[in-house]
Amino acid sequence: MATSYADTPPAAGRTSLLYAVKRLELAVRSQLDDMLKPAGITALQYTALTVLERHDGLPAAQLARDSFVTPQSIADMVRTLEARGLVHRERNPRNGRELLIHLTEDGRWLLVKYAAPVADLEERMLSSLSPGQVDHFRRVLTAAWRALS
Amino acid sequence: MLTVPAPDTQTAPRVTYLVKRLELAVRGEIERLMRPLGLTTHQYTALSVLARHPGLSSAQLARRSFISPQAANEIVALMERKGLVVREADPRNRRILRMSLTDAGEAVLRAGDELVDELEHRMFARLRHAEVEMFRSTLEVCLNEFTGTDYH
Repeated sequence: MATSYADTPPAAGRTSLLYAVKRLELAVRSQLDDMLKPAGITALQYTALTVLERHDGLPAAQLARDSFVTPQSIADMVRTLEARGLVHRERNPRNGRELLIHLTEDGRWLLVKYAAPVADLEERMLSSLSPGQVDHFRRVLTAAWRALS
Repeated sequence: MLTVPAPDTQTAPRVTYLVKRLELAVRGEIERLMRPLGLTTHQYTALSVLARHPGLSSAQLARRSFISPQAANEIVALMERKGLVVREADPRNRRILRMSLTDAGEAVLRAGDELVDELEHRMFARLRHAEVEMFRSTLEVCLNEFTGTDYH
């Protein structure tokens, strides 16, 4: 690669790792947005659906945390997904004042439909790396995250 | 990003999810660090981009700072009021306003850079140099799968 960070001046190269993480996240999100466009949902909305796939029936605050959405924007997102028929809200049987968010059949179908393309996206991102490099990448991504939490 | 592993698998979360999670944690941390300097994360990013590429138009700044043109306009107007950037008409096309940092803008950026340096150091302090370099090159390799070109 002609463009190593080594030949950028120190002042410009300083934040390069954090900047590279940001650029990669943005690239993945933009790929996903394109892929999901026919379904009429964004990458963030899709993430929320995958969270519900793992744990159906969550209060909005919890869904917000697990989907990386602010508490302010989760209400809008749930309304949008509800209008699209992908989720529905039901009273918590154990606490009638709390609404829990569930996947609908359409929501589940959408997740099934996109499971393979989303897996392909991940595979494509990692296609030039050896399994050892992928392991290492996972370890560093996790270690750096832990150092912040 | 996305994808928490499917409920019926015991596999590790997707790498894209780990990337998203880390990016989000970094963003939150930078937001916290910049607050005492009176900057938002977007403003700090915009100042860094302008320091590297003086003379950008607002539209160019938007592309390089990962924000919408509208958001860039708002940020630039605000930073101009705070005396951090100045806009001057391009001599070849008076309708294009080109931006640069003021001395105050450079000073606040330096203060921000120091805090972000410390943050980056804290994140990778426990790793060996070679591991960090491998991480750096892995990020580039992954990014190139999507962009097809080197970014810089």
